[in-house]
Amino acid sequence: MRLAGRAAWHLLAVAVAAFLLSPLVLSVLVSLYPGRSIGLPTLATGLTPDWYRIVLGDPLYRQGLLSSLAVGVLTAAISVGLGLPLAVAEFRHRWVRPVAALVVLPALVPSVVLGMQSLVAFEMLGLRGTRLGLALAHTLWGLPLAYLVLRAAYRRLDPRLRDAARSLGAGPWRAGWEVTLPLLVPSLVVAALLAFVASINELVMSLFLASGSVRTLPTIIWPQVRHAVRPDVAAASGLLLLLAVAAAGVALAVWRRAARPR
Amino acid sequence: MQAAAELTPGAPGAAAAARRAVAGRGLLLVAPALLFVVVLFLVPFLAVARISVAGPAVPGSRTFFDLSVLAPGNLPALAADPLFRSVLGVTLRLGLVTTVVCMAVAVPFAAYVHRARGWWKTVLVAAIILPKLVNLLVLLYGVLLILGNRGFLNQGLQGLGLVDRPLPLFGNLFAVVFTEVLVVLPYPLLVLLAAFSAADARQFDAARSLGAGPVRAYLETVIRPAWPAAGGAALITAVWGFGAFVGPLVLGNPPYYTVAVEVYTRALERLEWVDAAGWALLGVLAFGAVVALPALVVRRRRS
Repeated sequence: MRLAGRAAWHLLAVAVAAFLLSPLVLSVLVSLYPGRSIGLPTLATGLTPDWYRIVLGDPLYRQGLLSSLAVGVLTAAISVGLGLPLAVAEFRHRWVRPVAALVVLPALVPSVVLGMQSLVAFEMLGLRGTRLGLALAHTLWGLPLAYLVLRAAYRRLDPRLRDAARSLGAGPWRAGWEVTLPLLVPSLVVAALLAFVASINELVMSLFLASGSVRTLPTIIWPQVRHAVRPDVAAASGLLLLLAVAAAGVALAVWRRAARPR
Repeated sequence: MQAAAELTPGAPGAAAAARRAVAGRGLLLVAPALLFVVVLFLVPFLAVARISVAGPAVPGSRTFFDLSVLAPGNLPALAADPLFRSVLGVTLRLGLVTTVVCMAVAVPFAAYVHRARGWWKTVLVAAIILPKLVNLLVLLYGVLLILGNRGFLNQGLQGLGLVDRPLPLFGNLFAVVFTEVLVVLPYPLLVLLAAFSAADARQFDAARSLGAGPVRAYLETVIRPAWPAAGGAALITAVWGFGAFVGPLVLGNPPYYTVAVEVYTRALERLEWVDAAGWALLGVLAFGAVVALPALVVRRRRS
């Protein structure tokens, strides 16, 4: 009885893990299938990178990939640039808390609504259909992520280090630049990469904001997924996955290195 | 620094000035983020609210709404619209079902991952995080491959001779919930995992040595202290379930279209912006009310 219970417990965990991973694994496998339609590669068919070559050679996909990268980098930069000062201020001043809550609020609003209202705003600001516009919209999600990471990191800092710098005569800006900032570098990298990943994967806001000349990769894949389907969609998705996993890998490596006791 | 200013006795004027100076510096730090959220979040939201009570587009003009008209009657009319009510009902129900399923899976699974050790734990954590790194479209594509009429699930079942016709796994509530759970599940899992990890292992040992069985000790020392986090996890899940867009649109049929899908089709396909803005505004308000009510009740009980 006890043994059966334990087996069921393990089985449940395996089932959940399989559920979480199977769509991902399947679409990666399909992207490597050497046929003209959708199928699963077997030992007999082998694997082929052909679909990736086709996607990378296609001007539309390539332009989408470039836009995605540019928007992602911009989003990461803006999110961290806004989030770091906010995290510092939140630690020092009580009155900043409601402001911080306001900054996190967009993360709780459905992306369709964010996309719609951003379109209205960018029409007024003349940012419609620009990469900067897309990046600003993605920052609505990137900033809460970056802020929460940086806030946690700033709170863990040893305040004595900064106090030591101050008591040795450094002004607040110099102490921040020479002591606090270097200590925060790993968290800054992680925050930037999270915002980057959120941006390159974002679809719904981009659907509202993309224009003929500026389209991110997900908005190019989207119509094809709906009416699918050739394996090139899987390959284009695979490229996004590769980007995200690479970004996460870097974040993890930086984090590990920072966490290692010195 | 603030504390130092407050502790200076006998010089209230100087202390106040110092405090003001410090607060001023805080303002400088906060200003960029505040400006961002006001200009790109609050004002646009209010603009959408304004559009929801604007007049319909004037023929020949380039905009999709007429701001010279103020028609507050738009909103009550929409709230009484049977289509809006039924879609809102579907959306809230879908959010609720997704939340319940997610939490029912997340609590035991997070506990399992928390107890796991070594490489097995690494695999499990990767299984939680990887789908979150992946584009929604990759997941969706995979779900289509699994659940479609000629998908792997149906092929497998037919191959085994369990069914002779493909099961309708697609375009129904099951498919939509399947997708949404897949998309949303990592969030509550991560929140719960973090909360469980905060538990003090010595408490568990103490409970054991006081005679509690392993399950009871675990429930009392790990799961119970994490209960507030479970509330937060459920909230995040509900928010995502409510915002469901891609799942219902691709895997559901019109009966499972959510408010998000309706806003999208009105704004971008039919170009009915006044209507779309109304749907968006009332949808967000209704959901805010649904989520805020339990939160208020809980807070009142605590205080």
